[in-house]
Amino acid sequence: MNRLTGIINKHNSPRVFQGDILRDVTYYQSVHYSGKEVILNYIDFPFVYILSQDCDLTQENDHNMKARVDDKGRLALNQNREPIYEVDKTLISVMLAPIYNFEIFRKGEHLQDLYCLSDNDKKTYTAQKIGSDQKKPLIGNNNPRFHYLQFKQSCPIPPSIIDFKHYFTMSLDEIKQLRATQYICTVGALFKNDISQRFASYLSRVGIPVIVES
Amino acid sequence: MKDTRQKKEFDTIASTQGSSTELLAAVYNVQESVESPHSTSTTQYPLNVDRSNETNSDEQVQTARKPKRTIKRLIVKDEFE
Repeated sequence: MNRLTGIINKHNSPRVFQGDILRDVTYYQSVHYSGKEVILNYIDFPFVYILSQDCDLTQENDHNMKARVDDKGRLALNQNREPIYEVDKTLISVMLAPIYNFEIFRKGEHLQDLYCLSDNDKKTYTAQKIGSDQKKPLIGNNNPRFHYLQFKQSCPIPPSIIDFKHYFTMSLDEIKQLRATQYICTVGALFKNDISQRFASYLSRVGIPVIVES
Repeated sequence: MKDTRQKKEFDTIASTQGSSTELLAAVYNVQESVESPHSTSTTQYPLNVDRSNETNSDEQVQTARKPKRTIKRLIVKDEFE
């Protein structure tokens, strides 16, 4: 079976699309203000994948903050003779998921630098290593938590994996600005729909407790 | 056929781990505290790193890197309003 993640598009539209892959995205996990100090806690992700629904992104781009016009194409005005803006399609944030290098992920080392904050920290921070017996189900996308990505040789992104559990959000304005310089490519339509559906399925899973008979 | 991209990535890990990025802080009049090993500027929005002057070359994209967390303490000269 062909595991390639299908056709990779590169679009020139300034708007954000579902399936866009961006590089070097800084996610601010917390910003605290204490006395005269601001404490920034942020994560630099090498690659991220845009998970938000494309219809939401389209509507936001096409309709949000557009001045209302009447049936005759005239600008609608309020009682103060000011324009009326449509904000119904506003998005507050965009959902993203980190893309991890598959080989580093397999070694359980992909989260190491999230917790090791200095050179003096000699502790080991590891994730579960993926044995050869677990590799095949991952590549076949049979583990609901992960989505394996393999691109054509002509694409500069190596085999990678999306971890749905690590999804996060960033403001749309921030993503729009980043997109101008950090955009790499967009996953093909059929394949991004597959990712979207698998993510939705993972997110809506029902946690079943383990019942232990006493 | 063996995927040579992976090999290339691991070759470049060492050279990229220590690369510093310039933080564009979204606060006014900030000055970095002495305990922070990084450098900052006092540029305002956006909070993310400005890479508009970088080129998006294949080599940069192929570099294998891990997510990296940073905690930075900035001293504010003036009180927020």
